[in-house]
Amino acid sequence: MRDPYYEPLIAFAGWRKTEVYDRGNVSLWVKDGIPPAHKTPYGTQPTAMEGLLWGTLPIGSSILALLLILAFPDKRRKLETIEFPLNSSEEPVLREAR
Amino acid sequence: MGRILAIIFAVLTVGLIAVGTVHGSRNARASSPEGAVQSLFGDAKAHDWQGAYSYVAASSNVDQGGFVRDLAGRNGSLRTYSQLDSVNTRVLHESENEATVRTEIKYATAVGASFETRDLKVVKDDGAWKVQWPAEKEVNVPPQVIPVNYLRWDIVWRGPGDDWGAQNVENPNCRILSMHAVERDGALIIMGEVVNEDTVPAFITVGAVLTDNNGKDVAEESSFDKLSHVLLPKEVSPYRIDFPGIKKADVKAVRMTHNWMLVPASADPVIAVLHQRIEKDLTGRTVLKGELFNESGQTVNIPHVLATFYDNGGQVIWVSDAYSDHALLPQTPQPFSVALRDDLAANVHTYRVTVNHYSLNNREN
Repeated sequence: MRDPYYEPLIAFAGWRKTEVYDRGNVSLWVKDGIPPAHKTPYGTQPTAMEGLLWGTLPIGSSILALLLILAFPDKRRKLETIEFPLNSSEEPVLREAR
Repeated sequence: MGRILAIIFAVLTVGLIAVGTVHGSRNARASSPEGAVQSLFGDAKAHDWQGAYSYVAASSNVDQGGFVRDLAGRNGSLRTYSQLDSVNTRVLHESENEATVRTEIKYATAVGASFETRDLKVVKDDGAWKVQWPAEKEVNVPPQVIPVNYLRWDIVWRGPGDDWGAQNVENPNCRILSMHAVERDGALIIMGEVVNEDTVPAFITVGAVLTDNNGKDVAEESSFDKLSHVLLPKEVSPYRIDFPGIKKADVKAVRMTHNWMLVPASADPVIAVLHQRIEKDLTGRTVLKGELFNESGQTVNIPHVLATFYDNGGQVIWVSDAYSDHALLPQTPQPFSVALRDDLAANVHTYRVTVNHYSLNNREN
């Protein structure tokens, strides 16, 4: 932990400061007795097919989008230089009103 | 034409900057008692201490430094870890030159929301309403030597050079003394007491797993901060575990989980609890009040009070806690207040108060 603002919170929540580093600027806090992560049967379990779809469709759609971009690149616009003002040897049709 | 426009815009810009500067440095005069209180706390929230202080009546006899320390905290207390969140005001009494405004202040702190209710006296001072700030008396501990002869437990763990079969120090023996489940405000609450039966200190955690009628685990929680995590030998701590949104009827069994660990600890600082009594606070709610007295020589920055309430049969009927937003200076009493449910107040026969603490320079933290 680098920000001492949170020290009271984790101290009262049952964490212990064990080591400090960088002349006390960074501290290591530990909490003992945390059980290993385990499967919890809360709520409705998704079916095997739903699990497969959740695991493939989101990342698959991103990969598909990348492939489509690579397969169909945008058409490059042709650059055409137009001189301005236009040089013309002909006499202008319009005249200033008098 | 272009030059004239440039001059006009330059003058306009300078004029607007000047107006903005003058407007920003002078606070509007409060035209009502509630407005004065709101403006004071509004500036304090924005850390405009000078602006906030301008709403303090001269008769308060508090300098700006003391006023700022009242609001922003001192001595590394919980208030120094806080941010003013919101203020609700209500005029209780108003006359031509004087008013009383009930002010409910909410702070966002490092350990959760903290609430404070004050009845502020507001007076008309030179045509404007100003708050008569109740200055806190700053305590100066006189120079002295405080002898400390507390118990302390250090631990030498098994090292890498020890024999393979060498026995390590054993974990302490602790026991859950009682467990009581109640349903309050749409939450299932598990509470009770735990004791360290050993002769060495223990670091404890207590949790609970709820099982439904089909034998499935439906929820798992720990007591978080509603527990003294470090228990000295023979010390008893209350615990409370909240399960919001779970009904007692949906739970078939409760499986308690715990962990006891041997840790180095010291009995210092010793904090005494004095003058405990149950009474009503300003808002009419039932509270347990008293004073904390730090008997040691070091400052306790954040005291945490845990109160256990028992009925006639000695059963734990409620566990409540509160953080004090004032540091405990050595040899100086500090009032505390812990909320008690109004519907349980009549059933409370006895109560017990224990104090957790956090100190900035305490290595056990």
